[in-house]
Amino acid sequence: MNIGSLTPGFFEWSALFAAALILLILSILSILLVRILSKTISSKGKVRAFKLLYKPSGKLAELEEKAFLALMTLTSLTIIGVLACILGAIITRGAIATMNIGPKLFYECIRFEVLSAGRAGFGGGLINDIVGSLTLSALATSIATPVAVLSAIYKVEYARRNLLLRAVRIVEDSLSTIPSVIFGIFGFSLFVITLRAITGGVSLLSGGLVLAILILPYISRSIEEALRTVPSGVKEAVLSLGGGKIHLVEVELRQIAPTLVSSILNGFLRTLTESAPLIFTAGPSNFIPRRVWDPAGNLAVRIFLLSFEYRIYDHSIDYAYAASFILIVLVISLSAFSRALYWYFRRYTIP
Amino acid sequence: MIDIATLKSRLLDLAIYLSVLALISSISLIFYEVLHQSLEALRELGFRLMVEEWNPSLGKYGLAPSLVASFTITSLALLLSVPTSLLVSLYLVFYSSSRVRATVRIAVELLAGIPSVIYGAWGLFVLVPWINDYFGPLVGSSLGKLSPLFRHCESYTGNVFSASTVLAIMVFPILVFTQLEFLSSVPSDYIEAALSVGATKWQVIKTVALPTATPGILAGIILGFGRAIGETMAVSMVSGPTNPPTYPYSLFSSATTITTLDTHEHR
Repeated sequence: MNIGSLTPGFFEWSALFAAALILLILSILSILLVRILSKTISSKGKVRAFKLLYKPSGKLAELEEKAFLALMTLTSLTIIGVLACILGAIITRGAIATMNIGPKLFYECIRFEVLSAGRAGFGGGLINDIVGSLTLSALATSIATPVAVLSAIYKVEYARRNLLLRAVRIVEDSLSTIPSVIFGIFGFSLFVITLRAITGGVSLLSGGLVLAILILPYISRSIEEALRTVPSGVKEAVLSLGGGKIHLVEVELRQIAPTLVSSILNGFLRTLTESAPLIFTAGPSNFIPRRVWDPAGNLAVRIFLLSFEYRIYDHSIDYAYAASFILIVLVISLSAFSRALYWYFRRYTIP
Repeated sequence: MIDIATLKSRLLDLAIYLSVLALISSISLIFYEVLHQSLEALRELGFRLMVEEWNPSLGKYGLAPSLVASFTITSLALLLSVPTSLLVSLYLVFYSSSRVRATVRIAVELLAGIPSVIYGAWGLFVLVPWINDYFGPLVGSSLGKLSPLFRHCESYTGNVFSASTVLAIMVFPILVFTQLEFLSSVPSDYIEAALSVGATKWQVIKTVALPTATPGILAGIILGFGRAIGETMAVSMVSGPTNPPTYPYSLFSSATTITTLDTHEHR
């Protein structure tokens, strides 16, 4: 019972939305609690301290110190070990799978083929999913960036401490904690069902719109933080030369160019890694999308689908590992690229 | 007659207010859609939604097993990852050299950057077979004799334990980042005062740093809870969802979380 194969009118549909509502309420409650907690921290700034129950220096204290230091070192090493284990497993097996499939991975679409009597498996390459991933992310980032930049400028330059500013902050906080599956079923219900005349149902456009809403708060927040670090001398210089707000904004945007570029790229990265919203809205597709109204495959969604029946169909694991490998290489190289760009653009800012 | 400069700044104002409107309307749309679509079920089922089982063929549409599964998996994940993350961030803030701190930070950032489906794939292809072959039988034959909660049953689509392990790894970076922030913002005067009266570093942590940073750590745990309960793909890949959902009765039984109920194609 996949929500994507249901239509409004079934009772299950409504019951599943009720489940989503429970999740939504839980996430909003959690963010409200966090806001309250962080307010108590900033308002008091007080230090709590406990009494020591025994002599500060002694055999016992020394022993305790040593034991906990050992425990901490061990835990840190374990974490690095776990990371090495996960990355190592994905990268080595992914590289082996990529090598087994060969170069057709990068110029053929994936297809389902009958291998022999009673056996079926996957064949071809993954180019449709690679292209789909990149176009979806590009579309989502290009929709989200203007809105995010403008709302960040609003928060820094326009807003006074009024209701609207508080509303914007609460909206951003809650948008960033809403589980991504909720974006998925929201997008399915609004873009795919209600607005299907415009978005073409399950399509690149629907997926891009949903992802754009998902990354809005991240981009907007990091740009806001960057805008707040613009030296006041720069702002005053602009204003003293008779510049208006528009000149101020222009100079500020130039000043934060490094962070602007890296936060947009981070948004792009985040859309690459999302899969839960896309499985409802962009849909798995075995073909390269030609128009924005076509369904588009996605690497993350492909990994999810391949892992379902990996014991039934041949080569599922190979393709899943190859897709994971491509995805992880994309993510790591893009985040390295974003850091490099950050350092490159830093040369052009006033320190 | 308006000159170009005024026109430009008017346009900027307009664009900015429009984008703020778009931001606020997007979340209102999400709330409206979800509430509007779930109204029928809420009206018809009411409180039965929370206590009944889910079995559409029998006309039952309760979420109780999924809620139990969600909360079990999430709390197990937090149980695994809160103490470890606390130990790691205490080590990073109070003990390690700056070089080690930078290295571990990069490792944790990498952990945060790995897509959730990849955690899912790793869990399904590496962790679940390992649990089936080694860990499950070991626990089942030792602790399983004491309590049915630890009894092992083989399942190739995952179980409660694998789901909470994967979730614990996914939540870990969030916890570490918030804890690092709050632990390093404990005023250094107080730490130095405690050190100067002869307390060891661990005693400083125990008596000054941890109590002061408690609200921040709690906030981080709540954030992690929100992330963990909403996590979809990785969990539905490694929790072994069934149709109809059953209550998870042991550490190695399959579970169907709320998020999984929404995405999974049950068979």
